[in-house]
Amino acid sequence: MQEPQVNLKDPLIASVLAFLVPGLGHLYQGRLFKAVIYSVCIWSLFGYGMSLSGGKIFQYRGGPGKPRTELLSFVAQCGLGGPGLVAIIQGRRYRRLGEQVTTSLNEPISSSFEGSIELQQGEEDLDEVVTGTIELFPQVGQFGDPTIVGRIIGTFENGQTADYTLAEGTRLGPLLRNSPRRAVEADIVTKEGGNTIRSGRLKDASIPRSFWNWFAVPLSNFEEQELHRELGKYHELALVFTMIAGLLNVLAVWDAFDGPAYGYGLDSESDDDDTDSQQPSARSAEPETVGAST
Amino acid sequence: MLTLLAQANITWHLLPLAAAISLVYNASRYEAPSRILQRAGKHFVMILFILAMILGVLIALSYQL
Repeated sequence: MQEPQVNLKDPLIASVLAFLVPGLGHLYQGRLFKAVIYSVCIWSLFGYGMSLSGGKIFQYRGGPGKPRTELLSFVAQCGLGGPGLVAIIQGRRYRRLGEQVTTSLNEPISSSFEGSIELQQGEEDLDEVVTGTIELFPQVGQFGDPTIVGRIIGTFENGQTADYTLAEGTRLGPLLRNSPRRAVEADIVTKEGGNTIRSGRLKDASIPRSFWNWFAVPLSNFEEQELHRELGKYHELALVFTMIAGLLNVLAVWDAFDGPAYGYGLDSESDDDDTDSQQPSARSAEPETVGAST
Repeated sequence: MLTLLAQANITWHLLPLAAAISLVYNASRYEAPSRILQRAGKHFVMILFILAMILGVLIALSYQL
């Protein structure tokens, strides 16, 4: 057997690294040029596909009772092992936690906030966009059930200060959903003469959702149909880019494990046919170290 | 750049896709950087040529339809 002309170090470790993060296995082996090619090409394809779809094209929708055809695109995509493993974990979390709306909290939440406030002020209604901070607190409701109350402190678009109290029964969107924003539904209350009156509500309000709670989270059937409707042919394009990225990484993983398939480029530069470099004479050419070696 | 590409005709997406496929495929076949780039360039042109041929055939078949 011919001695490798590049130092593959530990091929198993290198291939696992290359599988998890394209380019990392080759970086570990000291093959910098290949590491750059693999990481730039594969991550670019994957990233562009993700950006076309707003990050919604990559997910694991398998599981008990799910048709296997839904897994076909994921099988190709998960050639990128790192994101693929994250998607599988997210799929399991999603099946465990579901899409339940949050109506109670274990601890207070303080977060940035965007949305509109609709207020009934006499004969004129107020409907203005407000940005600022929202504070949500767990509380026991008037019937003894856990509920959420809160407060919004921010500014309207015209610069006026907004400070409103949110009524019992404030609801947050599901913890897990494939969207970087988490919806907030709440009524606004004001005190008039010792009585608490519901005087308005939040509209299109949301707080940021953490990356871990939205990246690669499976879409519901309805969300999937909406994505098709919104993107049209770009849905397929995004799918193709991410699938090809995954499939190309299979080549990179094998290269990290076993070295280049055809040889080390020592045969004549005038050879045009791929098959020529597979000849034993080319593979057994005088050893010359290419790339990193120790 | 990405925005421009996203707004362009969908066919233009073929260029970066073909370039990435050529580079990665040839990087997995050879070790010498010069050989990888040379082969990738040839494969890139070949992919575009074959697809242009297919496009030509399709246009010819759909002529006056």
